[in-house]
Order: sequence, then structure tokens, then C-alpha cells
Amino acid sequence: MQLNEISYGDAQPIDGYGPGFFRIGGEVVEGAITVLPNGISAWDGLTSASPFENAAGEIDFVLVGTGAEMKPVPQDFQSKLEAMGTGVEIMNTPTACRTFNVLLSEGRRVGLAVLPV
Amino acid sequence: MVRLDQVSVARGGLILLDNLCFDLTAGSALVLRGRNGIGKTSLLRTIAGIQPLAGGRIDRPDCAYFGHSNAVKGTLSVSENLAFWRDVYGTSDDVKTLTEASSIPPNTRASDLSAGQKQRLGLDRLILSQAPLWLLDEPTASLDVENTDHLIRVLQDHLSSGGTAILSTHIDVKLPAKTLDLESFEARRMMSDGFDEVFV
Repeated sequence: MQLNEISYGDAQPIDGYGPGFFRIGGEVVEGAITVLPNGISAWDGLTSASPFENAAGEIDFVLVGTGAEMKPVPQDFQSKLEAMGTGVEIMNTPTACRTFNVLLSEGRRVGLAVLPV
Repeated sequence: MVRLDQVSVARGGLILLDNLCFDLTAGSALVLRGRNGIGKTSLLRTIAGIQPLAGGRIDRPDCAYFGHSNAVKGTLSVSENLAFWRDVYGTSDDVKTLTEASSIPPNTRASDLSAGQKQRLGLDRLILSQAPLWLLDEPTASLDVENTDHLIRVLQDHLSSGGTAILSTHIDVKLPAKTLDLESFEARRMMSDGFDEVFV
């Protein structure tokens, strides 16, 4: 079996998370965040679809982390993203972070929007 | 020999057990009791040093940990498994003495053993370790009456040669052991921010 070091290129994987924060590139970022091709931003949560407008042409889908537990997202939020041509995958935040890193390492066109645990 | 002072045990960011104190002298054993999920495994792992201590202090000698998986390598034979662990521990115990005392043929591939036989093979690893402190998590799981008796004999030998053991079990073991019910040490509070970080 061969083990290979993962290369993320220029993309920013999630290093870790904890109560109310995420760690990216060694820095702690408090609160909900989006990680999109144009960078890391604070996110107003599941009512805010606007951060994804600029990224719509650059990503195929967004992994949405709903916190410690998986919860449904507002229909309106999901419809807005889908109208932009961006698929929405809902999961809990730990799963979203792990999945995001794997997909990122494969060079997939993926965005991340996560509420903190 | 083993001393726990104000020990806190955490699992997944939650403090499970709090303010745990006890002293064990050489030759004595402690049986941990409590319902599923209370923190028996986490406490044993914390004492073993496999997971970080959430608070307090633990003094203990060298220990051998016997967990839910029994550190048996399926592709090796019974005697190869034992020889491997003897070399890891750097002890001089004779593997042959152990295999002769057991009903399992020494050349059987470990993957062909039953769950109970693997458990017994895992127990032989503890003997090879020569560690003064044994930490056993549900060692009676999958054992039949004969092998449970064997486990108790092995434990008695260990204690009478000055060893110490801490074990969790749901059955009544015929051992000169104290019992600690973890129910009264149960805690439910979040750890302070920043400490509980999961690295992806």
C-alpha cells in the first residue's frame, strides 16, 4: 500500500474546529464562516445566500455544516443557491469539514459554509 | 502504587468524570462499575496515558492496557504474536511456556481464532509485558466459563506477585478487589473554549 502526502495547492483546508471557532492556516476564526475560492469570510448563517453569488461560476456545490448536529436548512436558502447553479449538501459541521478537505485535495470545485459546533 | 488525585476524564469535549481520587496498593485490584457510557473506558485510557488528562494528577508505574481490541495480529500465528510482543516489551519470558499452558495450538493463524481465543491470546500479552499495573477494559467479554476462570487465575497470580490491576466488567469476578461505582463521579459540563479542539 502506498501512502501519499496530500497537496491542497493554493486552496485552504480546515485545520480544526472547536466550540465557536474554526482553525484555518493556523489561525483561529470565530463564528460561522464560508470558505470559497475568493477566500474565507464571516457568514451570517443559513439566511444569507449572498456570499455564494460571486463564487457561483467557480464552484459546483457547497457543503453546508449545520453545527454539531445535522439540521434542515431553510428552503429559501437552498432554492437561492440552486438557482445560481450551485448544489447544496447538508451535513453536520465536523463531517462538512472532513469532506471539504478530501474534496479540496482532489481539486474539486467545492465551497464550504459552516456554522460552528 | 497507583494514585489518582482529583482526576477529571473527558470524552469528545465533555467532562464525563470529575474529582476522582483513589489509592491502590501493590497486590490489590479495583473493579470499575457503571452503566454504558459513564466513562469506564475513558478512565482506563486516561490512566494508560492514551488520552489526555482533563484535570488532576495520576501517579502510576508502567502499565499494560487491554482494550476492546486485543492487539492480536491476524496474519501471525499464536506463537508469532506472542514472540512479537515479547520483543516489543523486551522481556525474556518464554513464549513456549505460555502456549503450552493454553489449549490453542501455537501454530494456528490468529485470524482463525474465535473471539474468546483471541481474548485469551491478548491476555497472554499482558503476562509478557511484566508491567506492574494492568488496565483491563471488559476483559470478560466473549469469554466462556473456562476462559473466565483462566482470566481470574492470571489476575490472581499477577496480584499475588505484587502487581495491581484496574478492570471494568459487568460480571461478578471472584477476585479480592474493591469496587468503584463511577456513578457518583459523573459530571456534565462543557470544557472551556479553546481546549477542546478537533483537528481535521
